[in-house]
Amino acid sequence: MDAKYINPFINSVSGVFASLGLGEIATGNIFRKETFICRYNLTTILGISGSINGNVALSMPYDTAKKIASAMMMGMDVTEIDEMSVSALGELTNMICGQAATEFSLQNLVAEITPPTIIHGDNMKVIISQVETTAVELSSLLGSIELNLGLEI
Amino acid sequence: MKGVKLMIVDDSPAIHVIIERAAIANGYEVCAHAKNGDEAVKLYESTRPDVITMDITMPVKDGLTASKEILAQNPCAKILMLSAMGDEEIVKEAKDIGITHFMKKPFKGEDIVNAINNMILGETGE
Repeated sequence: MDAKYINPFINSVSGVFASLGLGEIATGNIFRKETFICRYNLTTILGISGSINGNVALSMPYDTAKKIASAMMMGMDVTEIDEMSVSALGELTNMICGQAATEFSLQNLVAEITPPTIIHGDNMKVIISQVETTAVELSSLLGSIELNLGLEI
Repeated sequence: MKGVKLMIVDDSPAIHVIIERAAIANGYEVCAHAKNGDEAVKLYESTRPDVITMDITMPVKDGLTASKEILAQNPCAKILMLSAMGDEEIVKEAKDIGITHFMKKPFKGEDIVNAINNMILGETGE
């Protein structure tokens, strides 16, 4: 996938984390998956349509998800993934994709986003679509996150 | 700034928590929580908050419509509109109906508190 489609998402994760006071993001390996599969405990999925079509997913272990939700909600104790933490992680995904959509608009690309869906559980394997997917490993002070971009361009 | 009565209007429970925790830490009283514009209009009548944080996109009744109805009840109502990326057209409409304070998501709790302090002190905020 061309970097012009990947970088806006990486930039927006970094930007949103900074705005929310969640710390810095470091980009690790970028690799290709034959299909859009996420394997961590919790995956937030959001659809994109317009000049860019497909799905974006943030996938992370429970520990990372709880730490992010807690930090977003000003240190509130998050011991399980409940309605409140799902709401926080949904907001996070919305903000990241919203900011990426704004960056795409500067390239004259339209990217409309859908509300996020959140799936979680132990030993999960979520198959979102058969589209070839670019995965980006991201690390933060709160734990690791995998950004998955299954876009038809 | 103690004693300020705040109403939080948002369909996201997490946003209520973020704003409430920051507000209480700064001595505000959260007098009402509404999860859509319809609830906000009804609760405004009964609680008369000093400041309202108003999300734009919500089910049942959106934030712009609710703001119009609240400003019809009280043209001096102080509304801090919380906008997201892509809400630029709605923000323009909100300015046309007299809303002068906006905050773009993502924000931290302290950003909200600073914005509310500025509103109470009568400064124009963006």
